[in-house]
Amino acid sequence: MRIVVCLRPGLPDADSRRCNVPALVAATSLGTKHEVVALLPDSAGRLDYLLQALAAGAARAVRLVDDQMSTTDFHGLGQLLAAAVRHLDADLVLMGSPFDDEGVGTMSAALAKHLGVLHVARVEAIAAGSRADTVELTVRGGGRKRRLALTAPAVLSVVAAPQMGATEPLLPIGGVMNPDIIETLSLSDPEATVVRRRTEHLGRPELVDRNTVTVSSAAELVAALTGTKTGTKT
Amino acid sequence: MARDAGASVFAVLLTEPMTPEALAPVARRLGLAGADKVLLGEAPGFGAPPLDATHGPALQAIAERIAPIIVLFPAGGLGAELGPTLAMRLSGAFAGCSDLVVADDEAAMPDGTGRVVLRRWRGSRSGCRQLDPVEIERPVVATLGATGRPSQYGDGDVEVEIVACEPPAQTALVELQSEPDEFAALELAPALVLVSDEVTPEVAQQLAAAATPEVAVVDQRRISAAALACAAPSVLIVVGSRAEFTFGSPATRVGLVAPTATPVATTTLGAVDVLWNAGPTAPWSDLVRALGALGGPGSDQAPS
Repeated sequence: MRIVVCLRPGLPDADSRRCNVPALVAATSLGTKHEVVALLPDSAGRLDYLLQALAAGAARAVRLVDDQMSTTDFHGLGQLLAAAVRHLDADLVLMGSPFDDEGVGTMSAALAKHLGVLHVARVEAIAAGSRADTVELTVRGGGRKRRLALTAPAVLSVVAAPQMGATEPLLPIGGVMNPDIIETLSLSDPEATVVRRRTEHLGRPELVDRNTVTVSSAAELVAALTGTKTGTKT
Repeated sequence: MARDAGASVFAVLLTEPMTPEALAPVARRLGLAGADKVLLGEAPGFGAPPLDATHGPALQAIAERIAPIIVLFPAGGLGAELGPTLAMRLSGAFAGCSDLVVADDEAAMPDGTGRVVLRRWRGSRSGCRQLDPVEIERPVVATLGATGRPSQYGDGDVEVEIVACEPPAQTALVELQSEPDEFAALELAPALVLVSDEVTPEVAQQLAAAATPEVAVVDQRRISAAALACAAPSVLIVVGSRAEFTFGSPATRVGLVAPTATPVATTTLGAVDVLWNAGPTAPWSDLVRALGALGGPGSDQAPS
């Protein structure tokens, strides 16, 4: 199978550990029978993530550039990524969660819809399946922890397993790597024109003033949280 | 809120085929909780834990029939699994874990604004975003927190309409194994204590042993991010000054217990309501005792 890992651009290191690294590790751990392609939708030109992906075992690293990428929402970006994934002829797509700046976690669903393939959210673990076109997923929901066999194609949103989070080391960039090996994909195909909207940015932003209260005991803490008593407002 | 806003509430139930005798008490509970109508989709396979592949198409069919302005999922993982794809199919917005806010003013709302809005955290937690489905002219799909209590708004006499649903198709997903989720309780826990690696695992065990049924205590060292992502308690206590949390709604009350020698300054805190600089020799037994008060009045009731 050809597995595309969509990397979320512009993240601080701690967030990249939680979002990008689990998806990349999951893909590369499926073995050498599969080809892993790292895809970075990024017009800004920060290529560290792609170099890390190559060092981690990705066979190809592709940077997706589009002038209006930053001004579109998950509906539009899903359409854009779907065009790129089709171009790469992927069987399986993995992306970390949440993939969007607003933290609502809808990108993988948008991508699956535009590809017309199956979507599975909150995948905790992935293992090689019994056939070349299958993988085994671990998911939670409805009070059950389940292992599912999945036949490609599909889009999976991957979450960090226990012990993999903010303290996980970033993947190393091994040796001296030539950035020229990174492919650039520009979607000039008119059929890839997306409706530019920012649905998740609609609505009114509002500041939150939490007015943190300090307390000096456990009892005061619980009382302040449950609204029965407050401490010192600072 | 629906009454105040002049809206109708449809309860959507996807289930294995039920006998009228089995359905009646379920419908009555939904009616008592305020549903104006129950839309029932029955098919073999709907009793399994929901996946978009099995439940998504039926949910979409029902949603398109109602043309809702707001779709609410209850607390738990259901909304995270089915919500984003439903929002995509309805060309709507997805708000994740949100609070419902209803305008207090009884006067007519200005044109282009609705009486009920949804409020969610922005990704950076630097602020919130209010989504008014009337204003943005598209439906909003959201998940509520585990903040509700069983309450009676209706008389229980509710109309049930059976919606023809195709059974889940044989999809490319096949279940190989299923076991109880050891973290299932925390998704619905009204109070959650998150213990970081800044204190010993024994502290987490001590707190867990003292927790009431309404309080879930989890050790961040061994919790699944998938499980934690769907937690939406009304009260969250974080033990550890560096622990990060990106779940819950804006209405979640957050307390931070800092076990560090150097007190944490309130100016460095974003979404924290209450700070206790407990220090490295914190009297954990005090916190153990205090947890008993978290259930509060009505603690014998399950969250609605």
